[in-house]
Amino acid sequence: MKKTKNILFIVVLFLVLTSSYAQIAQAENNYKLITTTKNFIAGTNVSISFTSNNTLNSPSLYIKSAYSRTLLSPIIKNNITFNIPDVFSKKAGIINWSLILNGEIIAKNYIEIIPNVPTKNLVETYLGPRSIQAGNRDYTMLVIIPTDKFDNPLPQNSAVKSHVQFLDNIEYTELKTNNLIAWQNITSREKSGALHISSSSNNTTTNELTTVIFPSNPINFLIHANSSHNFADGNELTELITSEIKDEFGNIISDGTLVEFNIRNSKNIVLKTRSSTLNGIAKAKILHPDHKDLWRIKGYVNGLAESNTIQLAFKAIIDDFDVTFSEENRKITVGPLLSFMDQLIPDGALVKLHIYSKNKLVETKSSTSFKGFVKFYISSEFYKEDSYSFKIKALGVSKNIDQINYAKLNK
Amino acid sequence: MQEKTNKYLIVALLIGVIFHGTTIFFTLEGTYDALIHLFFAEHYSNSWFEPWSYKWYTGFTVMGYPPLVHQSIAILSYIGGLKFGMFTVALIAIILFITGSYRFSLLITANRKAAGYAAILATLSSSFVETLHIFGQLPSIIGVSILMHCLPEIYLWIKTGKYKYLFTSISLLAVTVTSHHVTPIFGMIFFIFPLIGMVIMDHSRDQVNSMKEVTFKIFLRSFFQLFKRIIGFGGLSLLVIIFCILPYWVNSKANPITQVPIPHGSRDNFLEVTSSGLVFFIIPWGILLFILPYIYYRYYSKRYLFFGLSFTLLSVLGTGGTTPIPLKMLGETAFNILTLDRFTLWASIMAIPMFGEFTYRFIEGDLKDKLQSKFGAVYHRILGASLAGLFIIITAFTITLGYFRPSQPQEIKMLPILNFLSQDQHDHWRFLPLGFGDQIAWLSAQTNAMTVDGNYHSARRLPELTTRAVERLENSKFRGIEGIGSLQQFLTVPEKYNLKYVFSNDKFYDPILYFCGWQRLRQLENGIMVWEKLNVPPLSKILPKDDVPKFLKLMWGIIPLLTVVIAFILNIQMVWYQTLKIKIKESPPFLRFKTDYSNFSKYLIIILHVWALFLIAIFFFGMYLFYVKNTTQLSPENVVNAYYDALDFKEFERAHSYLDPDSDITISQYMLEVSVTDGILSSYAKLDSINVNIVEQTENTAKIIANTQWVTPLEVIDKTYKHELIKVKNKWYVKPSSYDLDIPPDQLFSDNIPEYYNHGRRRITTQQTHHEDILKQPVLEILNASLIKYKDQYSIVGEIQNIDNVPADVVLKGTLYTDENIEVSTFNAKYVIKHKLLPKEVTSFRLDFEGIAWLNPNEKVPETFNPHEFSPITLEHQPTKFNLQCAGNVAITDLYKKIAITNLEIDDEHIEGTLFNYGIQEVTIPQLIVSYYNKDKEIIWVEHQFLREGVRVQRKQYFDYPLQKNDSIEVINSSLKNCFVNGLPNKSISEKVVPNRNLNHLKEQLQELKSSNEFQFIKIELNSYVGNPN
Repeated sequence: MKKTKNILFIVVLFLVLTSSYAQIAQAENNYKLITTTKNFIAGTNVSISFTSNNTLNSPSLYIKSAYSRTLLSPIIKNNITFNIPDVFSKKAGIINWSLILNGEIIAKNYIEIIPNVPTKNLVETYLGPRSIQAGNRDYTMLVIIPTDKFDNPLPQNSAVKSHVQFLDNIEYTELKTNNLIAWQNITSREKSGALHISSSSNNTTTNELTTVIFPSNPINFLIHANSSHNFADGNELTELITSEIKDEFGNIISDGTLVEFNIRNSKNIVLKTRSSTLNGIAKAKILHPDHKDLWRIKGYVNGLAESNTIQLAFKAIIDDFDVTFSEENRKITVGPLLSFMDQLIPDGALVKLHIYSKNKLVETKSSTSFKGFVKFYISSEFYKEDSYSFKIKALGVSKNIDQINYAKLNK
Repeated sequence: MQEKTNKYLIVALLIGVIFHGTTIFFTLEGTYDALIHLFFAEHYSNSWFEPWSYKWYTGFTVMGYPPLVHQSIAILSYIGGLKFGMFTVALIAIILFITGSYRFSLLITANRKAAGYAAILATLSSSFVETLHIFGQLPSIIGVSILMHCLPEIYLWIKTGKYKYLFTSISLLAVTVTSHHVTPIFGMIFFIFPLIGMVIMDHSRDQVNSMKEVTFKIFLRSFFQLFKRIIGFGGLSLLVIIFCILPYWVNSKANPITQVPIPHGSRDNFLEVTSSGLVFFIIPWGILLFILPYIYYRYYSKRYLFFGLSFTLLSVLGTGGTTPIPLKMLGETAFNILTLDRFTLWASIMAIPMFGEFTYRFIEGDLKDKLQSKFGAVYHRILGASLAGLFIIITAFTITLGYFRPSQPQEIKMLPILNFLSQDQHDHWRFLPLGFGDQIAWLSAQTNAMTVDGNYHSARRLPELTTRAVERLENSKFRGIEGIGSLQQFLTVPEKYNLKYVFSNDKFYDPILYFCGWQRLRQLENGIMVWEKLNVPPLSKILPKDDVPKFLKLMWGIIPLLTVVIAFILNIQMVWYQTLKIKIKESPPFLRFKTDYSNFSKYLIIILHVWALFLIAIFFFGMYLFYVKNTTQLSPENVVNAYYDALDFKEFERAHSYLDPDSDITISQYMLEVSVTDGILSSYAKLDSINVNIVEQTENTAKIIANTQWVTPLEVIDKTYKHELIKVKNKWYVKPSSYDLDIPPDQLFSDNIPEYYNHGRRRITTQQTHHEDILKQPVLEILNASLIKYKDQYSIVGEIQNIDNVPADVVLKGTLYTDENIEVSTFNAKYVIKHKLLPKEVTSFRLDFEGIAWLNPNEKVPETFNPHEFSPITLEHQPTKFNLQCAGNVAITDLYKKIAITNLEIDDEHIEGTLFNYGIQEVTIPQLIVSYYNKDKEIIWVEHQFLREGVRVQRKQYFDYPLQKNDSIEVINSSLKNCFVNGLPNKSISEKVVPNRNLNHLKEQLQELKSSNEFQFIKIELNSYVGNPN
């Protein structure tokens, strides 16, 4: 009797268990997707609904997009509805969802949000480089990214338009997006100036962007010299002036372009002056030599352009000058130094005194003129030899003075 | 017995708080150290438990300095700001020092009056005044004050063996160690050991009837009786010293100080460097010098014998480099790390009790009676008045020293700098202040921006800094080659440190900034010039740091203030007992060991007099020497020295007063002549040394040759001047030398130059620069480049052209590789390049590879300054290839080019030439860049020379350039293969922008040399620094 009781209990227990299991399985199958649409437009209300007769447990919806992921709770009325938050529904792309009940996924699928094309579009544009060279070698690149108002890029092959203004000419070009962007290489023009560029998409236009077309490389040019006289007085400026330097397309080259003037004198020494251009013209100055000389001058924009060679001849202002010794031969006075009209030379003319002892150069002294004279002092502290000879150079004239005796004066 | 309040102590406290409490507001911010502590405090107030600070030295740990004082300032700053915290802590330090002096003196003298006098004297003593008002060493003062409070407790513990004294003494020692680490360590040797000796003496004295009976045997016995207590205290204190600042010790072990020692005045020979002698010897000793015999006499009596030894040691160590003893005693390492002024400070503090005792005996004790009976009351009064007068004079002199001889540049208004740093994300780069003095700490405390420099040199980590005896980059001009050398490296490769802005408060640094490729941005309202370097990337968001375990951070943040709390609770108990009269405090045992003040030794009076006379004699002799040396027109040498001194300090009126009065140069004429000379020598040079040789001297005339040496930011200039001197009415004068007589061609003339301006095309916003506002990088082309080996030194030489249509700033970075493509070195072009190029302008360049100077410990630091001499990097592998990265950025300033070469004379050795400035800006420093070419007109070497004088408008300037002899030029590799411009291959740029380059242009313009070596052609280019653009 006791045994049968036990068996009965087990059977009952089994029945109860199996029936309850069946009930759960039945509940699972009860969730049915009502929402049939797969594609939603960005910015609209997006919800996913299910029907179920199971009111005991409420499932959750796990959603995952490229933007983020989250777990949603349902609104249960007649149906079980999940409202997709607008941070998700505004971003174009795929949203994967999984329905979760008691920690288990009981259904999964995806929906797709598509860009909201009819809304007012936004257009992102990038342009660069912002300066290019005139001609046909250089170009600037325009990149256009049209988006809907939620910043979702428009679908493949959406139409955008680029607007390029240069001088009197405005060009519109139809472009299609490819892989989310549209782009265009805008080739430089032969004239220098500014390219104004904008773009539009679906009646939305962008700001104006600018690329400057700088002139191309300079071509050869002419130079000439300008000065008030051609005497070699060492105190007058000669101005070296270029013609208007242009590039191959006739544009005046950029301000600031450096022109180097290379001067070779009669001793084949290279002198230099340089200047930057303004409106294509460079004006450099250089001081006249202080001795008779012949200059051959040529201008360069290094590696790119060169000028003709001009010659400048400078006439000597003096043939000779006086040298007097005083104060026991210790004081040497050079002068008067006279200039081209027999006027006293302007202060600052350089006079060099080479001092020799026994045909060896001991020292070179140099001094500048004051009121036509230059004075040197051969002090006995530093010059103790019995005799010295001198060579005096001034304004391209040199004079030798032999053997000035100091012997007896030393005693 | 109820203890009476000591009137003298109250007086001392009142004087101290009123005198120091008011003067610190005028002195403390100008001291050497106070602002550094303020900076640390700011760090703790922002991140209490984080020991890493990014603000200095590309990051450093604050665990390198005991934190108590900093943390106290930080805590108080929450109430009233950082400066409130600093001044409050300074006030606390003053009170602690006065009370500490009293307690220490009472312990030593066992006489309340003497201790009271000591407290008053300590308050006004010159060493304390100097430490507080000149050095601003707050932690050191607090450390030594607490140590003085601690000494009686130690005495009582060892004498009585009561545990409460052990706890109080250990608690006070813990506070000492957390405020200053050096104080307890050396305090142990110099204060606590002699104190223990004294306790043993006293213990021995208790065994017998008089001090005389104390023998060595008894002393030894007492020592063994007290041995346990001594060891107990010693062990515990050692534990406390280690435990309380454990993070400090861990950090010292992890980052040992491996730096080159920084010269410190306290190690000088005080007789040679008299300024150091004044600051580190005369001032801290002050009037104590006169009573030194008394102090020695007293400290060498039996009871104080150990103090006597310690005092002797301290006073000898404090003499620095004057005697060889400190060096021998400490050994080279310790001698070069420690600053020896602290020994003098401690000696002067140890002297306080005896000074108090002497004063007590002089004013109302046996010395007064003796002096009055022997010399009369008037003498005593005069003596008293002169001693008191001298004491006050020295103190007044010390406190005003900072006013008459400021150790700091004038106070800089920081607000414009702070505003600049917070604008447009300027704090995303590091900055470098120059010529700020210790105010860089105050600047750093107020801004989030970081600097490569810093003001706590033990924490430096970059090898560029630690290998040199350069305290700070900010004041590198005072450190000769090493200073300027370090600065150069930072300025040449600033991108390595993300260093973009330099704030210059000293125009001395302007030329080095310009020639390293920096440009002036603008002058702030406070007169600080901002310099900027282009092409420097901003700091990355995440910066590296050395992390430490959490428990160390917690210990560092908690223990220091905890020690204060514990010490407060333990020690304040007694005060409460006393005030509330709960328990009458027993008289401490040391008060029983009174000295007999009845019979002042006759011989001591004589010795004191002799000693004082001796000192006075030395003083007058010193004054005499000073007079002879410095009376300007006493001798020919003096007047020449004075003349150049006046020129050096731009005191032209004074310089004019040394000129021959009979010469017809008026002061206005002289000022005019001086004011028109500009150039590196007259505007940026500091006279380093002058050596006057008399060639000939008669009664009234003399001829001298002055060999001068001038330190400039770019190089050291030796210049020899010849002068004739004349003596008129017993005074020597300099005969004026002639000036340039050149007359310019034109009077009024005009010039057209393109000027540039660059700004963003957007509304003002706080956002960072928009991509639309960034200009295209100008296109440059590297025309040729070769790797050259010259005297075991590798360089890249070549030519670059700006082929764009806008002016460009050029940054050139070269890297060397071996055959196996191993990178061996990288550096930027420094001086030998024109950093700013107009469109189509060409510059030659030479890029040298510098190592970090003297990185090798065996290398000896050169003693003389030679900025030409740099440290060529030592390479382990032979470089065979190079990579050249060239970056252009739009430049809008420093584009002055209007200098012509109007004359040249070339011989085998020299080029003599004349420059002429035909534009409208005065060129302050012209630079010649001379390129050398071989017979195929290929560039193989480039050199440069700075001219010493500037070129005025429409004036000539002569130069003499010694031609380079080709010793051992070896072209290793000549290729443009790995040359890049703005990240693009040079070749593609050249093909696109200049497809039809005329290669003959540059060759046609070369100058032939008649030389027999490889250098067949040269080219001279000019670069001009305009110091004051119109």
